[in-house]
Amino acid sequence: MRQNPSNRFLHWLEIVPSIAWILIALLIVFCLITPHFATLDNLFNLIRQGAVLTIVATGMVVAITSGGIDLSVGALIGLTGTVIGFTINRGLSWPLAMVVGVLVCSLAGLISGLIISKGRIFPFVVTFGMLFIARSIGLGLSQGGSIHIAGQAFSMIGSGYFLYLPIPFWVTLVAALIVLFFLKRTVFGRYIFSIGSDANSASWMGIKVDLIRVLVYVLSGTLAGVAGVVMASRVNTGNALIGQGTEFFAIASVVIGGTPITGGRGSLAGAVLGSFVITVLQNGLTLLGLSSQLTSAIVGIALMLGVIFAQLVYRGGLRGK
Amino acid sequence: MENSHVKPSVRPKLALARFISVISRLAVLLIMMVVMSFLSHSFFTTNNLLNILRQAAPIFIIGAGQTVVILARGIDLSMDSVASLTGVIMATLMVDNKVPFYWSMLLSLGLGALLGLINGIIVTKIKLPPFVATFGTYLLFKGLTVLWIDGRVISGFSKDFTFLGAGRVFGIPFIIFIALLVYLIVRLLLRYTTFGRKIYAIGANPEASRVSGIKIDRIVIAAFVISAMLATFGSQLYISRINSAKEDFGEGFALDAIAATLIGGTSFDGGVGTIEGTVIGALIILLLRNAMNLLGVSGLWQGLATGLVIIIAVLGDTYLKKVAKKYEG
Repeated sequence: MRQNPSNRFLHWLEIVPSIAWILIALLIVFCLITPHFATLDNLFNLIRQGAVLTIVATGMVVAITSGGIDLSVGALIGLTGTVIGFTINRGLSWPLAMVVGVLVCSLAGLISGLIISKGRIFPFVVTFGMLFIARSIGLGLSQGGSIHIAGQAFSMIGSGYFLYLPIPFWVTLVAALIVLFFLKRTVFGRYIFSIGSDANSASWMGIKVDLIRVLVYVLSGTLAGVAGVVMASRVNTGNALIGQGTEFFAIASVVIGGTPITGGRGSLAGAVLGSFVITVLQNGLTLLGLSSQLTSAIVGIALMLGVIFAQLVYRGGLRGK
Repeated sequence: MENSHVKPSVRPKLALARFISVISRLAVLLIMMVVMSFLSHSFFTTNNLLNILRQAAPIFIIGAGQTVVILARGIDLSMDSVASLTGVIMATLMVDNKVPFYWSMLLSLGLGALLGLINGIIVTKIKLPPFVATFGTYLLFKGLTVLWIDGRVISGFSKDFTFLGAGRVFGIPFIIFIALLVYLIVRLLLRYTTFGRKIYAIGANPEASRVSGIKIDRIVIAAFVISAMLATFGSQLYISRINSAKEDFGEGFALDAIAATLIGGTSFDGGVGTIEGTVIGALIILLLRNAMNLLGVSGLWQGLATGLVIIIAVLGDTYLKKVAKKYEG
């Protein structure tokens, strides 16, 4: 508990997630030691690279807060792209194909959510199965390789600008705002916190736990679909394997952002900042001239330490509840 | 010790449910085999069946490790990079430093044990959820692997070493005997030692186990060590079979291992499950792949089948348990 409530500055310091300081420190370090890091081009580049992870992380934070997890998001990113490629190449217009791609992911989320809530199976197990299923469907649709997406219009989402800023920025912003709205301004959001801290009590209170759970996974799946659209449009191909591993980076973003993996509490801002940290780290190290393998090694080690540290801090040890 | 002979007290209907759960898997396996024999002439041939067993062997070995951890309410996501790291270090020892293959294998098994120890300590002492802890070490070990091998592909192992994974004895792939040995050891460990009974106890009820004096931390750490060592052993056999090693060859190990365990009926909740189930799980995965190959279904759809089987198997078990509980009142 704060001893001195009148000290506004300290209060402000307290509500800023710790991860923000790490992000600021990283940005300063990279600005000083990395050539071409602090340029407008690179900033836009960062936004485009980071959008996919940030969007997925906003969905993941909802799933984890509700006491669950969604391991299928990486595979869903790949699935979206292949569905879009598959349908566009069969003559569907690109906006429609995009909607179909996202809806397929919502459907996958719906199925996961139904099995989790009605079958009473651990989210880990169900979404783990869904990972296999989604990746396999993507591979099957693309015949194992990748599908080139015909036409230039679709690639505008990844490379275009709106109001002087890259379109992925706006997509990410809208996604984050929608999740924020759900979490903070709707009953649905409040219930997510309740079922995350104690599903049984929530159910006795008359909260429709099953329904909320289903909605959580629909939301997470849909956001993975949106991320998949951005990804597919950036590379202008549908590739079933392209999102592989994103689920883990999204989970890492959420955890280093201060959300306990056990659910019940969650920080959307933390998750978004966490995903920025990962993106900045990857981008900065690459600009330093490190090989991609070495970059991923260093990012891996940093995340490992970050995850351990975050769990220690946010478990309520160092900081209080 | 007397304790080791005490059967866990299980309510009769629940025990029946568990029995049905194993039998039903065996039945599924048999039905699949019968159906396949009718659908494809090349299925029920010695060669094909041995091939299935040969390919199922490494999945079973890593699956056995995962089973031990999941029984103790853990999960080991780091298997991929444990396998890669210990595998490439063994490979460089053998090829670059000309260390005899048995010493290289022993050293790499020792390293595997150390990596498992790290996992176990993070889970028990820092008290991270196993899922987060082993995901973190997954990234860490992956990083170390990349630093160690730096993109090289290592090949050119000795004949003695490649015999383990690719050799045959009396026409039967040697790796099948190794898998059988692993099965016997793990079965012995889980069913006839106090260590094994304690793993089941911890999985079923950690709090009760703690109160009854079980040193939970030690047992859980040991489970992670076993898991990492079996992942290491599996990777050694795999390298021996394909006669090459590179930084990412272990990718997918953990997924296969978890799939085999879950399909085999081990509860994600811990405390329930058998090593026999994991044998069946590995066989079902391989049988599916084999069936799709023979029927000319693209291998790309294999994941679909695996994913569906996982979900159906777990749904079936949950349903069985529910029915059993209802009749017990």
